[in-house]
Amino acid sequence: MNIQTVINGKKISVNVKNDMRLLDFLRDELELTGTKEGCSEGECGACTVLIDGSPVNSCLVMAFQIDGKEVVTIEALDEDGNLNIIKDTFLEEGAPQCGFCMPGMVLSAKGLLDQNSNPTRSDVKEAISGNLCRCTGYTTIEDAILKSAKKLGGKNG
Amino acid sequence: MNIADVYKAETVKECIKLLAKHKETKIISGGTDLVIKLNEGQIEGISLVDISSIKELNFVKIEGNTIHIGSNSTFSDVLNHKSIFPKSIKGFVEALESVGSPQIRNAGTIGGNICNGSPAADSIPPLIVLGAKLTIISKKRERIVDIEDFFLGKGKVDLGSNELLKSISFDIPNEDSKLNFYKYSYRNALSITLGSVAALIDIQNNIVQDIKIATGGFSAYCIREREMEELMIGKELNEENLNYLLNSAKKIVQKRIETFPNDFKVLKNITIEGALRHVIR
Amino acid sequence: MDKLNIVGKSSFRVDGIDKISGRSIYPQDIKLKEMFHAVTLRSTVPHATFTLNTEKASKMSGVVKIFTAHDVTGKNEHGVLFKDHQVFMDRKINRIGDPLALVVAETLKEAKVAMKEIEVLYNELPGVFCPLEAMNEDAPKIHGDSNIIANMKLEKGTVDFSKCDVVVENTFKVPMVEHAFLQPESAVSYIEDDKLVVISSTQYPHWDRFELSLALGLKEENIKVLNAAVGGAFGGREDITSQIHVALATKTLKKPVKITYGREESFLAHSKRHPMTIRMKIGALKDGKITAMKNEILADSGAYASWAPSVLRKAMTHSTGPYEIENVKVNAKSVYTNNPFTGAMRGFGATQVAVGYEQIIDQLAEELGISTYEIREKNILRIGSKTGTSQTMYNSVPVDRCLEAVKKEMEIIKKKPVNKDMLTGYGIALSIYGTGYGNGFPDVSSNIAKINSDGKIEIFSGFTEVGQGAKTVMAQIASEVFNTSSSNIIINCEDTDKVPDSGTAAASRQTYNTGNAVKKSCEKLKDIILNLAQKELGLNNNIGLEVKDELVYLRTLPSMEITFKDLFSKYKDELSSKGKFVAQTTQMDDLSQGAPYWPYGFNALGVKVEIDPATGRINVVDGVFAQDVGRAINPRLVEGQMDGGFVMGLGYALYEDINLVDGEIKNRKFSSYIIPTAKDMPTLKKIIIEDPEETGPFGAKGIGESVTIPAAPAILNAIYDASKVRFTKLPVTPIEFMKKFGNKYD
Repeated sequence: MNIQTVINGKKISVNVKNDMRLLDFLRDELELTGTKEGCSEGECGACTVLIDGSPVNSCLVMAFQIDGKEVVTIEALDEDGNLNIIKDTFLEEGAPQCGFCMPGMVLSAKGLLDQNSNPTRSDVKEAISGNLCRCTGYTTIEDAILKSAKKLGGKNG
Repeated sequence: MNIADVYKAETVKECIKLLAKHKETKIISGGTDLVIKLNEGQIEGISLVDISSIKELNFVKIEGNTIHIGSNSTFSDVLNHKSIFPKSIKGFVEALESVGSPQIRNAGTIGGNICNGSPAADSIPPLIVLGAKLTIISKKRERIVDIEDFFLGKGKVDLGSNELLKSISFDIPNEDSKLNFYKYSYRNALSITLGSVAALIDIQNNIVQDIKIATGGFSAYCIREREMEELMIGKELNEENLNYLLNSAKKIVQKRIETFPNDFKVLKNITIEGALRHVIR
Repeated sequence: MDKLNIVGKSSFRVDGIDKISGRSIYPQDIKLKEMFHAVTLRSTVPHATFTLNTEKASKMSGVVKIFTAHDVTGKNEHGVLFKDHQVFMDRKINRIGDPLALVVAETLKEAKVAMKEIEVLYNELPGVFCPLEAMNEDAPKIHGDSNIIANMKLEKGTVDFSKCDVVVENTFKVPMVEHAFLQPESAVSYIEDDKLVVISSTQYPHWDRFELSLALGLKEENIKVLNAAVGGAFGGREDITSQIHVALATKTLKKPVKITYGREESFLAHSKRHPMTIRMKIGALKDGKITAMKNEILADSGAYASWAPSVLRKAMTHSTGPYEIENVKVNAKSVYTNNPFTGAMRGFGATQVAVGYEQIIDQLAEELGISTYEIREKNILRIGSKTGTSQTMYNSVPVDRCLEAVKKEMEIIKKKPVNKDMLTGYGIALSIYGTGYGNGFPDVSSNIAKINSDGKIEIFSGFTEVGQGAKTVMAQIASEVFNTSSSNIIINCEDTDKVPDSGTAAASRQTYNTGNAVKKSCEKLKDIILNLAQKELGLNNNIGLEVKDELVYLRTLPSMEITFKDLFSKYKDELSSKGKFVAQTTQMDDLSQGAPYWPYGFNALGVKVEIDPATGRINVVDGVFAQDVGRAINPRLVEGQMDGGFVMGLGYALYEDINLVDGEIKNRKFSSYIIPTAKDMPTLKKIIIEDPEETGPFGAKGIGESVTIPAAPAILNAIYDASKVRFTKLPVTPIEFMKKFGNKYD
């Protein structure tokens, strides 16, 4: 199926195989390997991307379904947006350990902060509750998201 | 993964045309259940009709005393309207909030949740007690079905291969009623339900004037629990009556699972009792 | 000790921004030209002989070759202690998931389709799934003529409970659990200049190279192992999985080959945590002094030994906890069954026994009528104490400080409001963990420190960054010696051709062992630099010469200086130094007396739990964690370990359990094997206790495993406090809680 889509701000028109998930399309066809596969059933969130601004599991979306939609992956160069600030804050707060959950976490964080500039810790927990991490106990990730919100102009953080 | 053909529908009209024309099709929208099955090879060789871009089926509106929800609304779409929902359907909102994770709620649709016919579907028990009606359309006709009658067996629903669920409608309960929901699960997020209960209750002077109960996970599909309801109607809400209900509810559930292993029976006893305790209040 | 500039600071992770940005490369991210894809056919029955028919499958579209036991070019075996695993089974299947064949095809899809066409004819044998039954004479035997892998005893003094005023006993059962690292196994291999290169995510690249050489029949120098980014390990990447399979295919086909497991295969392929039955009996005098303890441990090793004797030894020697007990007797056994095999997992036996000793000591306190703090204060190890193996604790034993810190914070936590709809309880636990392989086994780390042509410091050591932060810690140690920023240190640890063996990223040994090797080599290199600088600057001696930011200067006349870069241009070959560190442990005697591990790390944890009495849902809502680290090289990394270790212990206490039916894992997905989410994790107050270990690098100890040990017993003690039900079997799911609570369903 031929689809028109926007990936990381770039319009593309491409033929996608019927039996390809968005995750496979990103990793295998576009070689955007920052999106990770951890469980293939929408439980771990390592494959989280933004579709039209909302975090979704790319392992549960067929590639042809992004026709007419906009996809953002961890590779996005978001110069005027908040992605780089979130990334820097994740580093400052020591959020990553093994790193495999990180791209998904960062995109869930962006999904939250684009909607809610002043989240509470409980909002943050909710926003990353679909992203499993086995290393960190989530604390540093939550801290990083709260601090990102502050940097991005929210009041209480 | 093995898929014959894929079709994209931008409108309801296109969709029902595609459904009428092609056999062996499945409708895909959020994909949160279907793509797992496709990827694991549980479903093979079918064609897919993608309705995720049908905007006319993505709506939440209140008309008079009735709430209408387009079947293609994601859980998040519906939850984005929670500020306009009356307090009396709080349990419906909680049920949607308990679905999977933000990612699942952003992709999964309420129509998909209903049409999968899973006994563990979180949105269904509240919709049953609300007496929701489903509007179903095919090329030839449009019909309305009570949600309670829609489920025929585990994963089996009253929906022809040429039909599309358009919308879900229910009347706002009267102000004296409240809708309680409890989902029994192992952890605080990403949880498959072990059992869920919704109850729409009208309590006056501590007497249960009216009650509707529906469960998920205690039968092959989500059902209305009339036998349980009858035990409470007109009764005072006290520990004695509640215990009587809990014990009877356990017996009702046990009858359905007589042939199951003992561990499973214990699990269901514990979950029905715990969940009921949370909603009868 | 001199003032420290870098050590003790929370430097940013050197691998941080690449991981956050998705630029770190895990093996599954690698795509090579003309690369074949391979899938592994695994047994679906637990105990059987079998025949394979690959004829039809091998003719399927895209199939290049199907490998079976006949195609193994070296010895068809591997294993960390005993070579009881096979590359491909050729005799007998011992568990569900044993590898039978490898299908190599042009595409992954073709490989998967062809695998379904391999015919397997099983001749099933009776299996044994209960470790107790496995010890029976007439039980089916897994390997050889006995299923008992190890039978150990420990005796100190004479255990005589009649001399005790109060005696308590109980039996604890801990489940088989899964590492659940987020990155499933993957490996890629290819040939480069006649060398076989294997890229994987492993805890020990040099060991993988050794196992590859045996199984492939190649010399080690003809194999290069490259460690890619490792997406968590926790012990689950110590036993080899896909590495030999890809390498064998590449060796035979002369083409790149890739294997990536899905989540279910990952559950099948690697080891699990040993389930154990732990029987404990403990006696004390009226004043609370514990005088006798007798423990029996039975561990299920499953179909293969993996680390069974070592895990068992750690369980046995740690079963007395961080307490000084005069008379101790322990018997410990580990046996083969047809269950999934068990091996290393964070805490390595010490995690399991703590579920017992920290609960039974609470029971003892209750019997004695003293507080849970008092009983611990009376019995904990202090300087000069002797452990159950009669090892003397001569320095850095801050159990008392850990306990005190937790006691103080718990008083604050107890004053916070409680939710009246919930049962509320408070519990504490202590733990002990001895670092290293132990028992006199040579535990060696090596490092080479060099100056490169840019004048930068490079370190070369075969340690592994599994997520714990080893790269950052090593960089900080080197930068401390050289008085420069840790971001200026270039770390080489991934390539077995470039770096010396530094042992496995396990046993909490990297900071201590490799950290010492890095420090030693850097100090030696600094001396070399100072002497060369003296020569170049024409000084009489090297007094007053100091290094900073890759240059040497004279402190009394700072304009007299020379850069490392200038030194390199003249003394290239001299600017290299090797450091080696061997840990000091002794082999224990027949009664397990000796000094098996060093150093020991300690901690204390206090938690508050809330239990819904209607449903049994348990939440840990508050907590305080005090961790002995010797000295924190990087406090933020330490805290990261504390949070992560805690949440893994929380999963152990409340959710996790490999559900086995006749050796088959029924819950091998993340939707059915439940690990904690962000919403299950409380905000812990973390307190780092520093009491420098004399032999550690800048006083540091390893903590990677220690941090996970106290969580489960502290939570169980809190559950008891809330409900007065003592849970001896993990996990305490809501259903298990409700079965016992009020005795309604028991």
